[in-house]
Amino acid sequence: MNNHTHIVEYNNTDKQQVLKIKFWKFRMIMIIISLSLIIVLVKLFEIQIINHKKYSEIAKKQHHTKVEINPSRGIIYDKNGNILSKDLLSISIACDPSLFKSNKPVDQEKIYKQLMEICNELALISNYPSDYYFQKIINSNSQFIWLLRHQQPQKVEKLKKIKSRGLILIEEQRRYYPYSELAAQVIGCTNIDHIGISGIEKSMDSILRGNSGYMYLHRDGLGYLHPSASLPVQEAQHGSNVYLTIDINFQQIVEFELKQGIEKYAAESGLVIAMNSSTGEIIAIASFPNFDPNESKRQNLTNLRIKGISDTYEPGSTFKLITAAMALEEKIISYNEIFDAYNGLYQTNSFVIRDEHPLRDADLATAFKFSSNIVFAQIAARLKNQTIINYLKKFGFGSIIGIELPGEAKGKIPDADKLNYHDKLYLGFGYGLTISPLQLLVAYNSIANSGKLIKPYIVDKIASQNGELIFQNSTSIIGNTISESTAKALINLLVNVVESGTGRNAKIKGLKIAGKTATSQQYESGNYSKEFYNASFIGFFPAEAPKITMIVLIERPKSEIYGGATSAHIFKKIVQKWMNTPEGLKFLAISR
Amino acid sequence: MHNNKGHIDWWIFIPVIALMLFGISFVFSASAPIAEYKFGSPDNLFLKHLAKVLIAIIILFIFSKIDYHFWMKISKPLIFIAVTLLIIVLFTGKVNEVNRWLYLGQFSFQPSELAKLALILHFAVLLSTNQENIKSFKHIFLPLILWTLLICILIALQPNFSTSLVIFIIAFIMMFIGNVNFLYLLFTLSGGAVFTYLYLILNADYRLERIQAYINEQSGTITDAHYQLNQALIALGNGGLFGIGPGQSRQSHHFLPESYGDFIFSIIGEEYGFLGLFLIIASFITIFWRGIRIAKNAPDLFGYFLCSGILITFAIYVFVNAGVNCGLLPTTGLPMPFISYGGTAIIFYAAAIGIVLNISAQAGIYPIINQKDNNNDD
Repeated sequence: MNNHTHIVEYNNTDKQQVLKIKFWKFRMIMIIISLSLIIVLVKLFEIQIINHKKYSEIAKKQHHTKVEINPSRGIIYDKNGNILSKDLLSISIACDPSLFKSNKPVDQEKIYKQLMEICNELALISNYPSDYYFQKIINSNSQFIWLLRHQQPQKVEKLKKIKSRGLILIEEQRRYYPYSELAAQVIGCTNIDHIGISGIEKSMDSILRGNSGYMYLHRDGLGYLHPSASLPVQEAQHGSNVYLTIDINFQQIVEFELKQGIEKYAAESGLVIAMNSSTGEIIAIASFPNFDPNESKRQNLTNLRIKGISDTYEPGSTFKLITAAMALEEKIISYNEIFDAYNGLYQTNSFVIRDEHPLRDADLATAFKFSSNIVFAQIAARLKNQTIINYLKKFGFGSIIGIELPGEAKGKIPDADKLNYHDKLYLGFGYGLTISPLQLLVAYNSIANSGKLIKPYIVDKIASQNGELIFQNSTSIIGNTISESTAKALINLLVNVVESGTGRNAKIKGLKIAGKTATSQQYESGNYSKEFYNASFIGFFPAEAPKITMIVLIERPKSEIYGGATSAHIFKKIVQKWMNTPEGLKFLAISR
Repeated sequence: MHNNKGHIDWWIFIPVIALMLFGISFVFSASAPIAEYKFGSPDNLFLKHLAKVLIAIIILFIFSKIDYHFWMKISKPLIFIAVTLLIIVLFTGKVNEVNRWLYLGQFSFQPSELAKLALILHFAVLLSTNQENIKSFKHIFLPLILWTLLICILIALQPNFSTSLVIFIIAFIMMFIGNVNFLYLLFTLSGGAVFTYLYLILNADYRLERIQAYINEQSGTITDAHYQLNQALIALGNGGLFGIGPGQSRQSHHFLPESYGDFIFSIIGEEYGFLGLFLIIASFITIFWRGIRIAKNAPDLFGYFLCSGILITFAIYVFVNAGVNCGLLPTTGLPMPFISYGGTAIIFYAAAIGIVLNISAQAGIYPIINQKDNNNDD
């Protein structure tokens, strides 16, 4: 009991002691600290609520990385579904040079060792020495540099095994062309970033490319990326497939013969365009010299040109058909009229016109067969300026036809009010205007089609990668040049050329070919060259019901300059070979 | 009898337990990416922390049942043990270039945590038993300042300057509350300031860097410390009012170093927003204000000083940690009590709260009716 009382008293005195003590000191300290915590809250309010937007922007920047999802590029097919151009998986190698630098010497040694390993491996894959890569990486201040693009996946297997944070391997698509040089200019090629820079790859780029998508990835503080379902994703829209009207087998024949011909006649370059006479489909376009689009080295830009549509020239004798067409249609001459051909030399004070095959008197057929400049100069001189220009326009000269290929040339036709007598004489046999081979081909094809001008096209259809048809091209008649009867008369003229005229070299037994030769002087620094010629042959077959219209042109042949000898021969070889292909046999069987 | 006078203060008990339990989930979210990276398993650090929290809660219960007068008897041996361990730790192997941890098999602990508690206990004893001659230099000031200096210097040698400085501040405030001579206090304060200044100049480049980072915050100089603070601010700012959601932290993904330790406050701010942090600070303020009441009603002076010493310690830790996280104070490595992943520290915090709870039970403000009746019958 006593003990208990004692404890209570003890407690009471202690309590009094506590109450006596300067309690305000403790309370003051606690108030100060509590107030400090209130200040912390105010500061937090400022950071978290007032500046929330600012910080969440910064956070977004460092937490999220937008990664582009590349769409797969559409495939280019030929008429028969052969693949001309497609994507192929490749590995590109890049690195983050900043991750190969360390402040600690110990780490740096380790990193250098690894870097040397990487550089040695790169040297094995590429043509550059390992030191080239080492210096490139060490001297870079950026956080991303390309080292090697578009390598075959099996080549980088070893590199994949090197575990380095700085090394970046990216799967990329590379363009692959199964037929290499074949139709290379027409198919075109893409640059290293997969964008079309020539040919169909360029003109159809937006269709082939599709739309890239994106996805956001979480990025952590070490730079690693993590996918997340909660972040926005936009799927890529894949590019569409393009089907061309080109027949790659025919193209192969054309290119082979063109190349052979160019070598044979020691020409510098040449071209062929062939189109389906009745539909306007381009079956083959060849330009030589050509290139291999699979070669990654830089291409000579002039080799990328589709000469048949981008180059212009003075047509020469092949234009005589147009002169004849105008004159017959306008009834300025009659079919049986006899012209004075001046025995091959037509001379006045100011000019001289010569014929290769001198004629005394000649009707239209004879003049055409032997390609008399003198006669066609006289015929042209009879035409009114405006009439000539109207016909030129009708035939499609001086303007773009609108084929689905880049770089189409307009050519240049004279102005009606500036055309003098002298100009008209020369225009009669194809000088004083420039045209593209395609324009001439289309003009000739209108003769083959009784005066209907058919628009040429090379894109047959466009389909999505799922096979859904997006666009189907079809034949369109864009004008009328001459009447059916005139066309018939002209076809006779052309057939004669091949049967017994300057185009005899193109003659094939059992097949009626309508065609015309030309050997035009190239215009060089103000004069017509006596050395450089364009030798061409243009025609269609079979003459009774034309199926194919084709132009062959070789530039600067040396061993033989005449179109009748060179291009007509190439033309014939192409047709002969084609006739023996299944397609050719079928084609002709139907027509017979 | 007097340890059965009433029940413990639920207004302290519940917030503390809540903070510890929520802390477990905070630690999980904040440590998972780093645990995954370092140990190959995202719950590695979380499980270690979980084990310590469970031990801490048991310790808290045990200590709340031990009559706080018990500590009066063993405060002197305890402080001797603490000092001895502080000396021993200086001669053990360094971890991360500092001597902070002692290892007992699998278990590691920081002797500075024990020293802190021992110093508070011993101060409470010295101050409560010597109020008659409290102004004395020889009997009061000298022993107090010597213990303080001994412990602070030993900890500073580890080196662990922030803990050393905080212990010095706690000691100073306890002396101030304990009515030690004002002149001596002034002397202590200026001595501490000079010591701090010298230490900053002579030691630890990283510390200067942190201070400079704090000063240069606006100048855009990029240093490690500046980076740390910057990342803490991004975490907080991105959290906004409601936070981006539990477990959604991105800053813990290797952006914010110490994301589960000294900077867990920022990660909580990111996930739970201003509201989450407001609740945490409100919990602490509740604990402090209940603590003031308990101290005022403590049965005796020892209880008063002990309770106030412990509360001040927590209050300083909370303020410094939160202040560092939001850029009010230069970056220092002090954990957030009850929440941060911090090894054994949480067990000492639990012990300290256990002691406060025991005092609260004896403070006579929460009488148990039955017992009161019994007392009246006596």
